[in-house]
Amino acid sequence: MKIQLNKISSIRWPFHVLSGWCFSLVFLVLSTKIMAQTEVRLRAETRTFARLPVELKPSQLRDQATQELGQRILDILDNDLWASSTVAAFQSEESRANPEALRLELALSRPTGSIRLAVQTKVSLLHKKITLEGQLFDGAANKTLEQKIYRGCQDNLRLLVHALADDIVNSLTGEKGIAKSRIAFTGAVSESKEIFMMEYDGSNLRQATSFKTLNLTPAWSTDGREIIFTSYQRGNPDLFVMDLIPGRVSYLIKDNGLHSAPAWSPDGKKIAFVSTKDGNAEIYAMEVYNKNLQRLTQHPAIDSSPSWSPTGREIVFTSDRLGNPQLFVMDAEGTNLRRLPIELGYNDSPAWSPRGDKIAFVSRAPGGFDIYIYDIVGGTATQLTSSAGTNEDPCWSPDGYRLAFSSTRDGRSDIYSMAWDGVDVRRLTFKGTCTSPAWSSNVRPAEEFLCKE
Amino acid sequence: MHRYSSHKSNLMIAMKAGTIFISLLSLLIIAGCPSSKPMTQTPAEEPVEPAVTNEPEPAIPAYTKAAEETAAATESAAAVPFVLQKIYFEFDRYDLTPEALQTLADNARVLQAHSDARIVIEGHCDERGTVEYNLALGDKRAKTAREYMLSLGVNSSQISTISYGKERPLDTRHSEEGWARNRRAEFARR
Repeated sequence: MKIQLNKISSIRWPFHVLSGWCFSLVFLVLSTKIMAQTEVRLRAETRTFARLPVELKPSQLRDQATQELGQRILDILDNDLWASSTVAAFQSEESRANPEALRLELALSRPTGSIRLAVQTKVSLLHKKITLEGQLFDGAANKTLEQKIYRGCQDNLRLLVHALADDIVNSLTGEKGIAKSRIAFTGAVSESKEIFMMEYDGSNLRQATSFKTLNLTPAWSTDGREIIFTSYQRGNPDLFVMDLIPGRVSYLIKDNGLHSAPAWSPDGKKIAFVSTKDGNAEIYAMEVYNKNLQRLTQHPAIDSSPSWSPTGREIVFTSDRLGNPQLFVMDAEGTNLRRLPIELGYNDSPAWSPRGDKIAFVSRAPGGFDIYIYDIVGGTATQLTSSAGTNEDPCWSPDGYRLAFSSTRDGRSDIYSMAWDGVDVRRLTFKGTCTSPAWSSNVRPAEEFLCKE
Repeated sequence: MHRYSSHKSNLMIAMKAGTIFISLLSLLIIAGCPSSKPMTQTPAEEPVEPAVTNEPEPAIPAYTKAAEETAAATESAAAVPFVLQKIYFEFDRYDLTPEALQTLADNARVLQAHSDARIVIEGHCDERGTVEYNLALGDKRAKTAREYMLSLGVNSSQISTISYGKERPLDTRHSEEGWARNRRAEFARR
């Protein structure tokens, strides 16, 4: 059963996967008229999480701030809050202009009882510098829950609003928002492959490297400041680290053999990666600050694709020690090895959910790969994709609600994202050569908010 | 903490491990060779783990005959044109096919005749499989080829290796023929 309430207006991040059966029932009793006119798309088959309804009041404008700027802030905030998977945002203006939306608002408000959550923004623009004040309050009790001020350059308006959105999500749910997060990936530029990056929803796409060689398998640092990747700049596949603030690239590992598939530990202190420096593809962990190396696997088979558990105590990886690629877990010191009991033929590309309870991976299918989720508690694997073409490289959003992946479902390879239960698939790139997405944390260096000198 | 234990799988692993252990044990008994480090012995069909070192490599027993033949047939540079042929691999494999062994023997002869030549063996894969896994597989392919050529008497300083994974396909077709052409090792003069 699928009920769809199609959205009329425009740019919002429209993945209105609404919540549980209680919402479904509310909507089932509403008339078909409201279904045709409101902007919420409801999927009755998705019973994963309940969204908190939050009203966005019209921005209060100060100094040179215009009506247009105020509305732009609301639209970005609206989009960001929906992207969080935990909040159902709606704008007051819409409610007043559209009585059906007001009914939706009332329906949405029901689960929160007497609380009516609302956000008031105040914006000031002076000499290209923006001061954005966000106030989260309970309209029913007329009580301020949280208040914060964001300052930055006019050019970084989106980032300022992303910061507000993430703070609202965190205040309301205790979870991480994803508005400040970014996705890096590999894309072809003529004969070479370069690293690209974009915002979580595909906006602000930019090329991060131009080394005119192979640059592969990007991975984010926990603080959102650096990207590690494999590059053939020296002719050999070495690991490089790119500091995004000065835009400087330096060697991380310069040694014989292949170095690839880096993964930063959740506390930012270690980097796991694959190296053949001792002859065979093994997994190593390097201390970031002193570059001390620890070899974690000891096996003549291929060991590849490490991914840390969110506690940093375990690592899931691929090994072909049983004859073809399978998933194994070991403690962060390389001890206590065990195979994940997944009854499928050829499994690779594991990615441990930041929530800890799931591991996304790919399994070979006749036309390529499909993405699966292994549920650690239940010990079961669930298939998420079954479209034409191949679906690969799953990686998690920082809140663990979504996965980015590469797919050839529309012809050539591009980056997509979907909810962790496989619904609400969104295409994020349109280059046709995009692979290896890596989703950052939602931490952004303070320098990024400032005006460029 | 979860240990992902599935009794069935653990049992299977235990059974498999047991089978492998028994196989290894019988191999040792048949060979009558109570080696002091049995874990370094690999099953016959598996390639020996490559080791990068500048020391001359000890000959691998199975290859000794070919090595002697090659050594006996060392020719002058002028008589042997510097032509090195590609070799090909099966899907998700890095062991050498009979054709690859023959090609590598020819390539070894060329390198021995041109003892000043330095080459890099490039390991390549077809597009199936992940970027990370194919990089490691290409590395295995290149090193297995190098190892065999060293066993035929080629000077280890003449050969280095690199993996390009699936990033440099020769054939862009998404078909069995295309994939077969891409699962290869190439020999490039430095």
